[in-house]
Amino acid sequence: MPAPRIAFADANWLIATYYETRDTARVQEWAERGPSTIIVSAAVLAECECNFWRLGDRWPSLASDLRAGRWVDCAQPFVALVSLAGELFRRYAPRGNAGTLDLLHVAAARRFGCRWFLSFDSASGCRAVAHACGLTVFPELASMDRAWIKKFGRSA
Amino acid sequence: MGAAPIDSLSVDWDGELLYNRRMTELVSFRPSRPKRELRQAFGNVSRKVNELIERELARPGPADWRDVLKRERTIVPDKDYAKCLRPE
Repeated sequence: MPAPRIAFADANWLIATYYETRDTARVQEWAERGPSTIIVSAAVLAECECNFWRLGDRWPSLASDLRAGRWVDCAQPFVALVSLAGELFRRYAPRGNAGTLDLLHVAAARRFGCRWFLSFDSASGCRAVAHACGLTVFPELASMDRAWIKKFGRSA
Repeated sequence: MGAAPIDSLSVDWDGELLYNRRMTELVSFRPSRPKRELRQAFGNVSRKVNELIERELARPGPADWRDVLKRERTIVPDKDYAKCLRPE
């Protein structure tokens, strides 16, 4: 049996898992590929709590599923995540539109040793940053991600 | 491992003797407590060990996040979802 894939989930991934969005089909596609262990962080959960209440009443379900072990918390305190992301802030904040939380997610994924980064955020450059940091992005890189990667390369 | 024991004997319509054998394997193990103590506590130790094994094997596996996808989901319009994709 193949080893489960270890993947870090961006908040928008969890939104598309608990709510029916235009990206939910891609979550299902990933699920159909086989088992995977999905890692989240304090920053992801904070972002989810806010956005889940914005969209409906699914936040208690996510919190309960976390306690049940369906999601794995990387157990890095928020302050530790900020410290881990310092280099990413310095490098990518001037070059893209990735938000503070986005960069904290990438830092957490790297720290936990995830191979995969699950995110639908192409517009800000978050997926491109993850790719530049050696993570494999799902869904696969799109033209917008490649444009960001090119931009990072030019300004590095 | 030993030979499979004869579970029961019976005679068929033609008077032939039938040997009914169970598919049984013998496994030896080193108990951490004296055999006498196990017999006093459980009586038939084999039956107790099998009961414990069956109970363990019947336990549900670890929770799988994919279970979430089997639940009903609220449809979110694109304009609301877009608010969640803004950089924060």
